[in-house]
Amino acid sequence: MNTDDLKPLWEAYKEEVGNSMHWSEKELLQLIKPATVAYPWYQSYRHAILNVGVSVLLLGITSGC
Amino acid sequence: MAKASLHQEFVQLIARHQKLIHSLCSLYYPLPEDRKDLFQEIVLQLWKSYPAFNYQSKVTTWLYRVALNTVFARIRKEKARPKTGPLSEKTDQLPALDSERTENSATQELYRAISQLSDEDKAIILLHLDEHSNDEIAAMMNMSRTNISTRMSRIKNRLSKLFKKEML
Repeated sequence: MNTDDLKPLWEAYKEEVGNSMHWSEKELLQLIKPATVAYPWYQSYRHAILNVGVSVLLLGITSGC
Repeated sequence: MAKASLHQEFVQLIARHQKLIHSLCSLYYPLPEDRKDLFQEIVLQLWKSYPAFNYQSKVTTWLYRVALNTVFARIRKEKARPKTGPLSEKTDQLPALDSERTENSATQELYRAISQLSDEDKAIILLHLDEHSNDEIAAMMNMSRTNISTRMSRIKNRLSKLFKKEML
């Protein structure tokens, strides 16, 4: 079998499938751009707030307050 | 800014070559939703590997390499998973293209013939029809050139038999 005869058919098939399943640039961009998640303002300071809280608690316990 | 232009550059590249990915997806999965899932998975894998792509090889070579790796990984995963029931058996008999679309009988015949090949043979004939040399196919499929040549002649025989059967 000469596969060269199949090449135009394959091109036609690609065209047919490609046109029916086409994605716009906007859709492609949405796919690769991760969704942005809104974090509350205190989220970034959470660790520092926790450290201060534990320190105050330990200070209170050890000083007898 | 640079990140945004990278996004844009990638999207334009995929938009230009998306027919190649869609045709690959349609050869391995008959159902439109499976094809869509696979397309998304391939695009995401391409996006992950895009920063390392330096245009030293052909764009289509890179696209096919990533896409085929994704397809084979997915097939391996599905084979490892236990079958859920008769639904998966039925999918093999579904028509190639959506029924609402106007179908070209010659392209349908080609699709039907290729879809009866094994997963690896499908990839080999697809790459061959897309004008890739045996050396390139061997590199993309991690096989020797001799192996590809042998398989190619077997595929040609098989396709010619399948085409004769379709004509009857």
